[in-house]
Amino acid sequence: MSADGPGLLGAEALSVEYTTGGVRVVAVDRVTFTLKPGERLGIVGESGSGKSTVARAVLGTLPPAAQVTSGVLQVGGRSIEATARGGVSRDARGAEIGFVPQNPFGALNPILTLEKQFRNALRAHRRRATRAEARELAVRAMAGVGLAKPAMLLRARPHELSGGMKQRVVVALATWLSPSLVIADEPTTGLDLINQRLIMDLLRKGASDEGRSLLLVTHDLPMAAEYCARLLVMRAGRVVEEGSVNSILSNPKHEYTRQLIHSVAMLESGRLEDGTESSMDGAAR
Amino acid sequence: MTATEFTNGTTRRRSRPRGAVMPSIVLITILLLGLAERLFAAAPLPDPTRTLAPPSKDAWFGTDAIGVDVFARTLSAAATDIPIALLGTFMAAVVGIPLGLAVGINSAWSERAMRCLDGFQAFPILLFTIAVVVLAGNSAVVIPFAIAVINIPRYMRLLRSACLSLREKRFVEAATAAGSSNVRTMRTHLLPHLRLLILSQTSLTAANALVIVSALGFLGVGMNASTPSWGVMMASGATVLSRGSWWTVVFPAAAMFVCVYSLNRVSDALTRAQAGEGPAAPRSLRRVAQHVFVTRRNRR
Repeated sequence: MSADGPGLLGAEALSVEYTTGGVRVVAVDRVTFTLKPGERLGIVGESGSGKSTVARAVLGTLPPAAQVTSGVLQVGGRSIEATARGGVSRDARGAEIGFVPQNPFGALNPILTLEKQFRNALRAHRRRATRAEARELAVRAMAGVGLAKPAMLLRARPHELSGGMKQRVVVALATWLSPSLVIADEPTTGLDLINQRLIMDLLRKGASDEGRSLLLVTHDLPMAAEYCARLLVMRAGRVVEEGSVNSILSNPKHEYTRQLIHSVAMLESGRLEDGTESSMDGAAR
Repeated sequence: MTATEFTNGTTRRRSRPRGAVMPSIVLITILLLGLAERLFAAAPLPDPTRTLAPPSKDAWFGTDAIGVDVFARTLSAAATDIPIALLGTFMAAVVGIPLGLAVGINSAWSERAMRCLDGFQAFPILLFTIAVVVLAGNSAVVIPFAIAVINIPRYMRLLRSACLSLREKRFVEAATAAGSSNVRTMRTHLLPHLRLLILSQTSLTAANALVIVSALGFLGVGMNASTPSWGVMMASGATVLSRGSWWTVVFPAAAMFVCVYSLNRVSDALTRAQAGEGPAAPRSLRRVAQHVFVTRRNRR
């Protein structure tokens, strides 16, 4: 696949509906985007804007209540008519497209050792993979995400790890089979700032080192701006703005994007003001 | 070195179903005694000179209307009733567990299967079994089938609901996103979570199966008066109960009660282990009444 080809991943007029209690709600409304090999794209929007649903529709892990109603997906230059469940084929999941789900605290099976979880993930693609093979690959993957003593860690169960460690294991599980694209859905939820940065740096490093694409789904505009080259702003299921980070930040065209940038600016300045006020209070006393 | 080094003080602890040991021993002892009686002792012969003798040093449980020793027959019946109940339980589990998992993971089948089960379970299966026996002849083979047919829907419902809640877990989504097929996800991620639930349901099913075996024996379905079975013994004892020979009914009933109670305790212990609780409160039969009445009241 060439870089000027049709793109690594694309969606055209993708629509997803949720049915709850007989009421149909359009969660994603004719969303179109493309992702070139090696590109980092951020999908930004508030909760309920449909950004996670886009990621799941691409992967084919939509919940039973959701249904893709229209759209064409492009994966690796091939077009697939999106089925109701959406998504790429099972073989592509994990091997071609890695997924970093939200919430490191639930993404690992709590009662299995890490080694077993790595082995299960490998055997989903290579049925005959041996224990030793899986173990060796897993140790390398764990070391690759900067975890010390990986061989020993593999014997642990998830509850024995900190949140940051767990999410690094999740990143290792999403990237160890060298996929050409990683989809990360709010990968830093519930992590402290240092771990947030660590996880994001890992994802960016993988992208630049191995020419991997990254689709980052987040509500955090500054983070998306820092780690992505291009942004897609979503609201109420629609793409309201799309463009390079610079053009969107410096010259937002849509009212909602302006509000989003403005609210980030307000928060930043508010934090600063608080700081000065409290120090002044201290000085007055 | 253990992996616990990485934790901040939490240790790896597996909840063990501790309360399941004693009842299991009781049950296995009864079964082994029954088998020993059946294999090594001479078949208890009727003694016409000593009918309906009350419990004594010679006949611990007394003798029945045709002069057979009730103790020997009660033991011998364990070797009929328990294996039949276990066979039926096994058949129910072998069919019910895969079907339950299948309808649990596949949402398309799920609803339809449940509606079918609704209709199926509304059907009086014990009566149906009696009808089958009337039509096809009286054979003990129908009993395990009846047990299986009654218990398969129970397995299916239980596992389906357990799967439905597990399926929502993030790690199941993560496994699917990592390319795991439905069957693989079920086997590698769901089944380990369901292990204790399945074991506890199985011992509960075995208890229910024993009751079914006894009920059918009592009605004479699949068994005749010569079969050593607690249900058959109670049926024949019931005819002479009015003459005051309580031992012909009470001892087989007590044997059945102990077995069913033991199986229920095993199930209870497994359920508690699954919920991460300690062993069940009452440890002796004396405290059962207290457990039942006091705890029930406190729960309100």
